[in-house]
Amino acid sequence: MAKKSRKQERPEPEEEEQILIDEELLESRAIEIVQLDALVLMKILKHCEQNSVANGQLLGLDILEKLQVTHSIPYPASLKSSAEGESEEELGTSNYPHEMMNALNYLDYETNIIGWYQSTLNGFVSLTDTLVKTQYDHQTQYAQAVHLIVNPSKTAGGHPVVTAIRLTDDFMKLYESKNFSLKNINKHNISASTVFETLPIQIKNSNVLNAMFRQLSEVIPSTNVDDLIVDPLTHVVNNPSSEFYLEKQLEYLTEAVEDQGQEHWRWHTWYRGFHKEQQKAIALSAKMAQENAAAVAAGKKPVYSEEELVPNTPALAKAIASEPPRLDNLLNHTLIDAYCNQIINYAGSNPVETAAE
Amino acid sequence: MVLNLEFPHNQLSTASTQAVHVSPVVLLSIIDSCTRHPAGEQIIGVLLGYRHSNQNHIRIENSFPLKYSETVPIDHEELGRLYLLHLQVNPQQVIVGWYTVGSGIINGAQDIHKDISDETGDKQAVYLNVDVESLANSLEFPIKAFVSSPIGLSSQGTMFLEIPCFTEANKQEIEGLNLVKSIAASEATNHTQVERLEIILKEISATLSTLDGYVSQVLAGEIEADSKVGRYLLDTISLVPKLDPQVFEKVFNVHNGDLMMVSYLAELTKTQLAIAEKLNKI
Repeated sequence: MAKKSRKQERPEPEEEEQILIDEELLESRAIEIVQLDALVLMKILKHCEQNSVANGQLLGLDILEKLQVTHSIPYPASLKSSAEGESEEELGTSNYPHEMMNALNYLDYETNIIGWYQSTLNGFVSLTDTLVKTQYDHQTQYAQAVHLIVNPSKTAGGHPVVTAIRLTDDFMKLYESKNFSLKNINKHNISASTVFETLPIQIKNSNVLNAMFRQLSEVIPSTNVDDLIVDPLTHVVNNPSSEFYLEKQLEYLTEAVEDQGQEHWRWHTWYRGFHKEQQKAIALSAKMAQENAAAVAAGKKPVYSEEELVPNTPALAKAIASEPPRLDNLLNHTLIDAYCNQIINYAGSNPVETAAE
Repeated sequence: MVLNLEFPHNQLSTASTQAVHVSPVVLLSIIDSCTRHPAGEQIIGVLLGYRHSNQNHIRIENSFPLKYSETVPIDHEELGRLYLLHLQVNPQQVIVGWYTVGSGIINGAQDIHKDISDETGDKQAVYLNVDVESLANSLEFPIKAFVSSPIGLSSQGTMFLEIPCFTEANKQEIEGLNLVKSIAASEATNHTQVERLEIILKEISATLSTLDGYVSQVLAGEIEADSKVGRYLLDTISLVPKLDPQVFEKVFNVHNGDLMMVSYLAELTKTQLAIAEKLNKI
């Protein structure tokens, strides 16, 4: 596996002699589906269970339009995802991913990074610019990279445990340009719904695994009656009611909407200033045109050249340059959308149907 | 008169391990590591986990494979390196033993076991054997756990004693397993909240009827009553709020109304945003 990976960047001729590879399989295409190995899913879930905030790398390979995730590396709790890591060096664990890769390589595991995963905090997605940046870095290194959002909390029932997302190609281009003005965003045809794309997830079990599942049909949940018996009272306390989830969700939504309002207000203030400058510049150029016309009428040469007539003053240029970046706004919008969808999902996608049942 | 008994050191220092509890993740990774190798190749790896406070039970939580060669079965340097990497992620999990895949105890198992026992200090190491090839023939999952025990009192040799081995999953793992299994059986994956509610209600109803059966059997005197279970049931039932149906219906409807309101508001927010976006494009 490890030998076949990295194929689109570096074809390795000496190895192609030994391994017969179907040329068609080597073609890189946009992926349409993410295939998780059962082990990967279980490992990630376990890692998330042990740590409140867990993240790690995904390893695997893409074959045609299917991205196969065959292994994962959990990161130690002290090591945050690579993008957050200014403080990484201090922790002494900074070379952990590197060493882990070496170890896996030594054990003949594939070492092709195809993405990363992160657990949600209490089941609430957070689409921050950090996440976007990390994913951008991943996708520039490996075009097919995905990000798995893992949602281990049970209170969040109703939506899938894992979601695979990646940045759309349009957004990648936009992010590359580093210009988040409204004009540029519109030029790239980006809207909140096209920042991320969600990919369907498939789980693959090997035949041996399926055989094992048949035999392990009754996994003993816990050792004895004593362990099973928990004090019912503490059980209730530890499992906050469903309202808790909804309340939190609404709280986050309100926060996001407030941010959106502030962002909008900031942009609006800028726009007013910009509009004023624009008016001024237009008035100035109109005045110049008038002077020109007067000069021409008087039989003289025009006072201003054509170029000078274009409404453009230093103040206007400054105003254009100081347009607040719209990236936050865009992400916030995406976030609100996500919250709304979760709430709708939670509250029952079709209230009438809910009532009928 | 003083009687001097010289027991082997490791016999005295720890109580012997009585049972092993294996997390399904470990089984999955053992099987994963054997699907990565061509058939017939020896597969060996290290088990990580913790001991219960009384040290008689071991819970195996994690594992990693090692490279096997006939001449140097265990490369200590490599083992130490991998172990350190795992410690960074899970500082509580220590080496508790090792595993092989294949039928029967492998050749040289005694030596390897001694090597691994060096890593576990004065605690007893366990040896897990998973016979993947006989999966198809046996009804039970072919997994065996052994501890090493000296033969006789002043013996040089040791032998492997089989100890009970259980597969044990916690709640989270069961959920994960169910997910993995259901997708294997290609059932519907993405349930909406309402569908899940339906599934859960069915489960509750099934559990209640099991309980009902148990209670009536106890009442009829077919099964001996367990006071522990009885007290637990009493505690649980005392927690169920007493509601008359009318009040319950009212509460339920009010709540349902709230939910509808919230989902309406969420839809409204989405619509507002969509309009804002369209306006931006003009």
